Amino acid sequence: MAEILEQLAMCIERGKVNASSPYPPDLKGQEGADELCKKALDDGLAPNDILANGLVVGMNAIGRKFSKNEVFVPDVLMAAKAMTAAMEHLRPFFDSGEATFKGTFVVGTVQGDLHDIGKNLVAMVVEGGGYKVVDLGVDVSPEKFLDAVKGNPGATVGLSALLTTTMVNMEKTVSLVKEAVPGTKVIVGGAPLTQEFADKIGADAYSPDPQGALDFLAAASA
Amino acid sequence: MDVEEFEADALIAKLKAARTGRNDTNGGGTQAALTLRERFRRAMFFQEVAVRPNFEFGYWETTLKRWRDQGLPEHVVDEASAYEYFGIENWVMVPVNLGPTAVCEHKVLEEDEEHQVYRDSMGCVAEINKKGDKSIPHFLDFPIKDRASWEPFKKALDPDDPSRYERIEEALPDLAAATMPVGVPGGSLAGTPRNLCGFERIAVLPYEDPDLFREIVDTFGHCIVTVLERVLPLIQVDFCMGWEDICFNGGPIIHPAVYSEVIGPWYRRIADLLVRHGCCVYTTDTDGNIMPLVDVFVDNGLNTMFPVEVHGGSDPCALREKYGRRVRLWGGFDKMALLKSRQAIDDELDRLLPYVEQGAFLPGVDHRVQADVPLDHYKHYLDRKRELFHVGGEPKY
Repeated sequence: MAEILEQLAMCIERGKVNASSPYPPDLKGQEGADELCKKALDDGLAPNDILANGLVVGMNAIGRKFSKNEVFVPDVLMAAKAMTAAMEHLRPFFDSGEATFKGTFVVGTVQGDLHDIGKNLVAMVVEGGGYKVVDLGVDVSPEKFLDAVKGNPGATVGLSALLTTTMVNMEKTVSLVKEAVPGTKVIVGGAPLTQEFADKIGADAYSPDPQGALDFLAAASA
Repeated sequence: MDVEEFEADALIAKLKAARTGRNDTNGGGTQAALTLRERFRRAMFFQEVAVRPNFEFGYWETTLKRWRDQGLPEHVVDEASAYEYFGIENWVMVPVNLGPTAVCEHKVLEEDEEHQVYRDSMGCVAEINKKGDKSIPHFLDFPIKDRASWEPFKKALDPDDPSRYERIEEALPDLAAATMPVGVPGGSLAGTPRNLCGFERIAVLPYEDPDLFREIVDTFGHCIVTVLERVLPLIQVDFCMGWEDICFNGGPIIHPAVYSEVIGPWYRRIADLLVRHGCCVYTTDTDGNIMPLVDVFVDNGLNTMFPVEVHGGSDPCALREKYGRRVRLWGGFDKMALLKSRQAIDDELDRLLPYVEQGAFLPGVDHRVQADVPLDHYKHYLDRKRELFHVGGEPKY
C-alpha cells in the first residue's frame, strides 16, 4: 500500500480532519484526511484504491476498537468527520460512475420511533467502510423501506429501534421487504434488541455495534 | 422522577402530602417507628433497616393507559396515583432551579395528527410522535452552534436570578417536617449542555473548540455551586440528585478523559459542599453504560449510581464487586426482565439479593416501566421485591 494511503488511514482512525484542526494535539499543524486524500488523487491513485486502502482501513480500525470498548463515541465521530472530509474529494468520481461503492445500505429507524443516534453512528461507519448509504431517517414505514429497496436493487437493509414498543414494526418491515423482494438481507440493531429477537422476526443478522453491521455487509458481499 | 423534568408546582403539592406520620406498617421491632426519611438515611449509610425504602422510577406515559385494559383501576391515572395503588414510596425535592432559565417562549411550530414539532424554552426544536411513546423526543435543531449562540445562555445561567429561589420559602416548613427523604437537585454539567449543543456537537466540542467546551461546563458549574451554597444552609437534605443522561449502550458520549479533566472537578466541589452541609448521598441520573465513568464519579465524591441501567451495559453487582462500599446503588433491576416472564423477574431479583443485603442499595426498575410490560408481570415484580427485600409501602391491589 502506498505510504500516503497509510497516512490517510491513520488520519481517519485518529480523527485528524485537516491541517487546521487542533485535534489530535500531537498531530497539530500536520496534514489531515482532507489534504492527504486530495494529494492521493493528484498523485494519480485511483478513487477506489484510496477508498479501499485508505478510508476503509481507517474506519475499520476505529470501528473494531469501538466494538471492543477500546475507544468511545467521540473517537468514532471524529473519525467519521475525517472520513467525510476525505470523501468530499472522492464523491464526484462515485457520482460519475468512474468509481464504485462496495454496495448499498438502506438504513432507518422503524415506524413509531424517533431516535437516531445509534442509526447515525451505524450509517457513518458503514459509509466509511466503502458503502453507499441511503439514510431514510426516523419513523420510517415498512412501505418506505420497501420503496427504497426497489429503488436500490441489491441493497442490504438496516433497521434501528430504541423502544421495545416499536420493535414490532421491525417484524412488519422484515416481512414486507422479504416477501416483496426475496433475497434482500436485513440486519437489525438498537439498545433493546437481542439475537433471539432478530431470529424470531426473520432478520438475517443482529449487531450490537456499528462494526458488526459493516462486517455483516462485507461477509454478505464476499 | 427525572430531575430534568422537575416541576415546582407538582413538588409543592407532593410536599403537602409529605407531612404525614411514621411508617409503621411494614416493619417489626423498634425500627417499625422509623419514618421513611429515617429508613432512607439508615439504608444509605449501610446500617440495618427492617423496612427498606421502596423506590421506583415511574412509567412511560402510555404504560398506565395500556394497563387499563389489563385491570388497572380507573382512578390510577398518573405517577402519584400509581405509586399509591402499587404501594411505592417516594421522596421530595427542594424546589430550586440550578439550570438555565428560559431564553425564549415554548412554541408549537408544526402539528398534524401524528406529529408535533415545537421549539422549547431553551430554543431546542424537537419532534414528538403524538400517537406513539414520547419517552424521548427527536431533536431537530439545537440553539448552541458556536461561541456567539452560546452567549445568551451565560445570562440564563445567572445564579442571582431570583426566579431560581422563588418557591423555596413557601416549601421550607413542609421540607423541614417531611417524613420522606428530602433531596436537592444537583444540576447538570454535561446533560443540559448536550441538549443545547446536540449529541454529535457536544461529543466533539472538546476536540474542536476545547475552550468553548470548558467555558460552557464552568458556567454551568458556577451556577450550580453558587445556588447550592445559598440553598443548603436553609434546609437539611438527605441526598443530592443531578441529571446527566450522558451515556448510551456504547458508553459515554463525552470521553472519560475529558470528563475527568473538565467535569470531575465540579463534581468534587459539589460533593465537598454537600458534605459540609451534612449530605453524603450524591448521585446523578445517567442512563446507559456508565461503567467507563464510574471512576470519575467515585474519585470526585459522586458516590451513588442511579438508575444503573442493566440492558444499557451497567451492572450493579459488578459495581459493588469492584468498588465495594465506595458506591451506593439506586435502581439496578433490569427492566427487560419485566417483559419476559415471572421466572426472569425472579432470577433478576435473586441476582441482586446478596448485594442489596450488603446495604446502601435501593433496588428498583432501572428506568421507566415500558408500555409493553404486562401489568401481571409488574405486580409480580413488586410482590416478590417486597417479599425478598423487605421494602415499605402498602399496595392497594
